[in-house]
Amino acid sequence: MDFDFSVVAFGLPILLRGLVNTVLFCVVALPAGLALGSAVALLRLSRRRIARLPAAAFVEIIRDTPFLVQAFLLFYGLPPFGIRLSAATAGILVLSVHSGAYFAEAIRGAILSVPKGQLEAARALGMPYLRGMRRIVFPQMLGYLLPALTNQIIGAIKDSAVLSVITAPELSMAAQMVLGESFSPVETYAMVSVLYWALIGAVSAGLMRLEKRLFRAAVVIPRTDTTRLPLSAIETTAS
Amino acid sequence: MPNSITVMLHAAPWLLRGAVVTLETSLLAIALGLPVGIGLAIAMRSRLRVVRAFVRVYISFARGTPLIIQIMLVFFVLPSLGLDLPRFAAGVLALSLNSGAYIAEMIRGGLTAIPKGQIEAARALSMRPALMWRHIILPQVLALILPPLTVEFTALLKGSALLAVIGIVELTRTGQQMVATTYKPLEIWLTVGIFYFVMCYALAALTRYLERTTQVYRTV
Amino acid sequence: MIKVQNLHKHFGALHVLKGIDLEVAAGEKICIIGPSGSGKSTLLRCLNYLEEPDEGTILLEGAPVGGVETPTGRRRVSENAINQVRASIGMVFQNFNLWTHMTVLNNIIEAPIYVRGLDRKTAVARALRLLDRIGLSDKKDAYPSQLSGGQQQRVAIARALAMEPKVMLFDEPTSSLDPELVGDVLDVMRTLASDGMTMLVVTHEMGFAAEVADRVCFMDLGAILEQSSPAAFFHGPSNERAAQFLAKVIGRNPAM
Repeated sequence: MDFDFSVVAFGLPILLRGLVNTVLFCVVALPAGLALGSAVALLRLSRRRIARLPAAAFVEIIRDTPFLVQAFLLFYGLPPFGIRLSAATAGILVLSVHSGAYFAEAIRGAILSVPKGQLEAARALGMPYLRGMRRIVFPQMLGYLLPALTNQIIGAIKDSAVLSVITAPELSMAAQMVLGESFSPVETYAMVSVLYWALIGAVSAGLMRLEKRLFRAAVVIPRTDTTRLPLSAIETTAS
Repeated sequence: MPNSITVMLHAAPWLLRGAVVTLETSLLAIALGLPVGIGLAIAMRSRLRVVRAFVRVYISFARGTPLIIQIMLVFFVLPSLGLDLPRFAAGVLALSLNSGAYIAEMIRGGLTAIPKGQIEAARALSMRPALMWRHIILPQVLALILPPLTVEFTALLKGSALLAVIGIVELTRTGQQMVATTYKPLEIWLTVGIFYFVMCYALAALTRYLERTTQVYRTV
Repeated sequence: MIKVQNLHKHFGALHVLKGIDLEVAAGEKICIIGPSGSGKSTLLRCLNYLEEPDEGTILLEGAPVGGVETPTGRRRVSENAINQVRASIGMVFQNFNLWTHMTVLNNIIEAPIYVRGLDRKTAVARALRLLDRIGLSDKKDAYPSQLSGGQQQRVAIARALAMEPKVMLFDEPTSSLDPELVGDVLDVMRTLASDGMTMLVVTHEMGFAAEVADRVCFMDLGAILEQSSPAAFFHGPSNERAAQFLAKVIGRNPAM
């Protein structure tokens, strides 16, 4: 098997542009998915069944059907009803919703990892539920969340490749274009896989470094939390 | 509305045939993925640095690139290496190679869960490594990884949908064919979704059942 | 000050509280004792609505805590009302529940600032005063993980006191502590008692109960079987199960 490097010279610029698009897709879809996931996670933890059940059903349905089928449903299923989305929009939309369901599980797991007593103490002091979640549970939950989140983010990047099937203009789609011009699948797919591998490797390493820095701040000797009081106030407490 | 239901009911038998192919590919993939995973897991503990490095790179690649790209690679690249497989075999091979990497990681996790004392006892009884693996370690690990294996099987069921892009006529591909003949994408894709959901939900229930029942055998 | 009427609570099929009636006057110190599973903690947790009773009324100074029985069934009080009542009930938990991501000082000032709307300066001043009273001023910038169990529990007491509650609930406050740390926490509770705070304490510390309580309540299997003064109770309870329980406990503590 000989490797035709001219294909690399020809194809790489196109693929790199596709890579940029993949990154852009994720940059838009992932925060949206996080927002959706947080809302769904809170609903799943609600006391009321009317909130819990639809949220649980949503997560179960998304997780038990293939991403490709969800993409087809959104992209091809809506036009007969007049809703015609561009491939990119549909792609970002289905990626957000899909990752949202998985984020919801990661967030719910992280919230449940925080000991129950922490929130109980807050409620016992009269703190409303949402404030307690925000000030007490949320900061502690982040430590548990980051590893699970990293996994889901990487999953989302891999899912984005499937969007090429609905002609969304990302990296795998760019690969199809290069293939169409060069008829060299070996070289093309070799380049594409290396690019994905590198992207995911970089994201994974970056998130792991972030994890280490956050954990270091929470666990090891913390900086003293000075309360910025004028000296006079401290003196009056000397009684 | 009634028209839609008719469409869905008419498509169902065809889609069912596609679902059978989906199950076939997934079952074959996990059946082949297990030996791949076991082989990788054993190779991970090799004394040769080259072997360990190869395993690390393999697993990193399998987990760090999209499945759809891996399927393309196996389908398009293998012929140039001289291996001309029919598309069904190529698809199943791609799924197995991918699965194998995840199974290897599962086994690695399972191995650390086995108390070290058991291995020490086996060594004290002068057991050969191969015997130790076959009779002591692997049986316990396989029992331990049963729940995650069903999760992997669920992932394979969903992943098999991607085999449609290389023309294997499983559930998703059948769905595409149905859409082409009925021009009713919403109804067809909803039905396809329902088929997948039923399969995966049943498996998820199985996973939960297995997690509960293997608890008893896990702790000593 | 507190009036409990006909309180019932089920956990699934288990009938944990079987028609509890209890009255606590202002400034009274009540110790609730009994075997595990008697419903002591559940009763306490119903008082600030951390557990939702199935039947019965709880009144704090005449205002309902949580739910009211109406002719048409049980009606839940508004979320706001619940939070307001909770703000005037202080609770100390068996495993302290100090917020691990915040310093001692921040633990104490959090609720006064965010629940009572106090400004930061006043809240901090109050916190420092409380820390001084419990003897932990030097730990104001420490994190809970850096403190011993006894220190954490004392901070937890200070955190509850910072809200200037009308009544303090203690749910087995020393049960999670190593024996040598129990004394410090009991000292703080004794000081609190002598300052006139209304207290309900679920505890296994019989010595503390004998010394500090105005009334001892013995609970078993979801009902209050005996209520009497500590002198009467510890010399010879009239209820048979109470007597059995006491015999077992004293058998292990010859110091009593």
